Amino acid sequence: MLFNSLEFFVFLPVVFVLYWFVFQNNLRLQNVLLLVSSYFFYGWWDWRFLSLLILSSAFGFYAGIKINDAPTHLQRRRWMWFSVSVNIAVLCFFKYYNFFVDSWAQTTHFFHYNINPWTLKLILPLGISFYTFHGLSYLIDIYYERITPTRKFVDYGVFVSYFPLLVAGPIERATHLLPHIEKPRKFKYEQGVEGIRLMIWGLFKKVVIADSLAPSVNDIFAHYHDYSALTLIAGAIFFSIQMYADFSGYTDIARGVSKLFGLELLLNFNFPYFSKSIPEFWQRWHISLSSWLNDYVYTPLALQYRNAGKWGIYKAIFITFIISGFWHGAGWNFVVWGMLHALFYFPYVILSNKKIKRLSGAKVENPKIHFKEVPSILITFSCITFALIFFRSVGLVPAVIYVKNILVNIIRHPGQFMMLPKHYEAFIFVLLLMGFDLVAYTKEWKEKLQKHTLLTDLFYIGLIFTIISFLFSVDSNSFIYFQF
Amino acid sequence: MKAFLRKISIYLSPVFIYFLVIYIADPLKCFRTYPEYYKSSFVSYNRENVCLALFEQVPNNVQINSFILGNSCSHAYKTNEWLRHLPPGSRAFHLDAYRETLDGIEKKLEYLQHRGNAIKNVIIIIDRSVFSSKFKSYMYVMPKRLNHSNQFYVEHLKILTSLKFVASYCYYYFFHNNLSFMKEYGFIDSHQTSNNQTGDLNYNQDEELAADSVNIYNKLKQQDWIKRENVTNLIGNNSFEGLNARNIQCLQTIKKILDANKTNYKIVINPLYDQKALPNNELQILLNVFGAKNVFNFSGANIYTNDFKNFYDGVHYRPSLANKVMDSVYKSNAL
Repeated sequence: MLFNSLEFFVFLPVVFVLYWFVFQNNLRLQNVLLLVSSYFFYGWWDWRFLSLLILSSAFGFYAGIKINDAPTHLQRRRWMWFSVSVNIAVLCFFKYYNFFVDSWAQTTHFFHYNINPWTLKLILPLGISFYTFHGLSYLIDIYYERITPTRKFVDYGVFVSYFPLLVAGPIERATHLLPHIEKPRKFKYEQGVEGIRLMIWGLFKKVVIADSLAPSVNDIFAHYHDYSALTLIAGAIFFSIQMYADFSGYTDIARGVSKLFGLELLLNFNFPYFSKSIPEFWQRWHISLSSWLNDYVYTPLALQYRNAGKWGIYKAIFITFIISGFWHGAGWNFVVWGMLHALFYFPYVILSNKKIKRLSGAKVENPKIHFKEVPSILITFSCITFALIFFRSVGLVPAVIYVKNILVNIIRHPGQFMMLPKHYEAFIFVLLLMGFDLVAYTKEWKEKLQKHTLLTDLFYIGLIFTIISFLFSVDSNSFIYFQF
Repeated sequence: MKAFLRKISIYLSPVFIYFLVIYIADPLKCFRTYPEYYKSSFVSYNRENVCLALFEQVPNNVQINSFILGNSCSHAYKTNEWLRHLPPGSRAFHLDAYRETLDGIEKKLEYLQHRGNAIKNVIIIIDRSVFSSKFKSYMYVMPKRLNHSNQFYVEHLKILTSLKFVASYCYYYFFHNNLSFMKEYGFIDSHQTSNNQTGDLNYNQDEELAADSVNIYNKLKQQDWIKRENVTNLIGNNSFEGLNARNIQCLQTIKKILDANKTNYKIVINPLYDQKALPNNELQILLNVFGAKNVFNFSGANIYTNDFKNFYDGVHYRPSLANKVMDSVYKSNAL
């Protein structure tokens, strides 16, 4: 069920009432409720893959104990590699099997050797990328003795399958979430109100901003042959904002829902489009994934290549972003998207003397934006938007043609820049979101909004009415990151 | 926890109050049934819902057995005029819809059958637009009693939660004046009246026309209504979806119900001012399913469609033309 669906608005209050009023002082029953609710939530999407989720959870639970209890370091290591390999194999099978088979067939065809690819009619289980990474971090952290495994399947099951983050993250760490699950929770008024407000804000971003931009984005990317350069550029900008509103909106709802149950999830977005550089962008965008990749991919690789100096670091970054591209989708366009971001890192690694310690996960402040920083922000946003053309396009070839059409149309029809682009009215949603973000970015205004004043309540009531107005009038779209 | 629940109430109360106001005020008359729909109204209602609501209020001792079905062109066909062509003992009612579709006609016949109504006589008034699927708008969506879907309420809630519509409605309510952004809603002080015993909808424009037809038609000319191509643009150059599987299934079901009830039925293809004839393949399927003696094609260029004065606008024709059509249809039958 979608967060912006009627079913969810019935599901959530029922779970909330049972959680705090029926199982109030019983941690075990509260966790059982969360687990059952999560399986119900997931099964509502597609009951066929519920068994895969349960099996994956059971395997991870068992493997974690085996890693911890292994008598020798060698056996410990073997269990770790075995369990990680199984998780990755399952993910690769469902997500990448057809992609690799088709790519291999195309490669052999290029060399005039035709093979009949044995592709399978596989449906991608919802959220598999997310819950697999949950499991992987748990197993690896046990191996490195950052945590001890839980001996309660219910607790582990909640960690892996917790419904707000099951299908689109944030990718939680056992070191962060598991202790919260294992500790008794007490309802806190401030936390609950913050949760409700986050949910409202997330719904606003999704329903009002993202879903309103979707028709323009879909039209421009579907008819990129027919539109001017300015329209194609506008389309890319619209998608950047749609993607941000959609994904951060989902995360806000997930974090808001979790606060209602006394659980705090990781911050996933920290005003990424105000970044002044690509490295800063990755400290602010999809923080849970980028910090996961930092801890489990980049850092080990950087350690391995440390003797190669800057080029070793760059190699580690390059590989990490290729993996990031692959994680997002089984398509060469996603790989190119990852490569582009790796390319954007080049000047910061090779040409700069500053060392990049972490790709993500560092504490980032939000200082006031000075006017002289605006060009850096705009350049960074342009790079991100350019890369997102590959992310949004249905394949590598359409993405390349999209970019080619921008360049060709700029050269051939420079006069088009005097005309308004198609769907120009959608810019109102771009300005609306960036305007709100700019206000929230400023610390003083953020603190004012968080206070319990009449103005704040009126603001959120206004958001609710706006959401309802758009909920009925705009066609609802599934969250973009559900496809990953 | 109490403070939290109080906070939730603060946030949700305005929403509940708003929906309560919408339900009580019911500006589109969709949540409840009413004995009267058109008096002092300025907003368009879902005609299909109005017809069904009025029909269901007819006392049980009044045995309605004859039905005028079809799109808004059927408003020209008055039940009292139609009854002249029907056997004695016939009682007629209008069950039409804006932008009626074959799906709608099929569902209405199933509804009547389910209610146990005798379906002795039926006249179906259609044109090429009947082959399309339902437009997505509160005015055209099928009521729940026909298709058991909540889409009827969803479409109405869409418009009732639109800030633009609410602002426009309130403005017109108080000032009876249209601003430029309100034109899409078509608010107008309506002179329409409805006969609640028969479902007839009277435009009450004939008196106006009789008094000042020159000025009225000049005004329509200025608004380009007299141009045939504008009528075509309004209805569509050709049927929207043509003979898809669903349409053919609808036709067969309609035939089945009419045969099962031994209904005396006529299918009239509207004389539209744009003089575009019903496409041949669609005409042929109607003839194949219903038979040549039951299908009467008045579309295309003919004496009825030549003269604009037979029409209120390019689409809706006057009762005088409808009477001529009925005379022609039933005279043919008599022959």
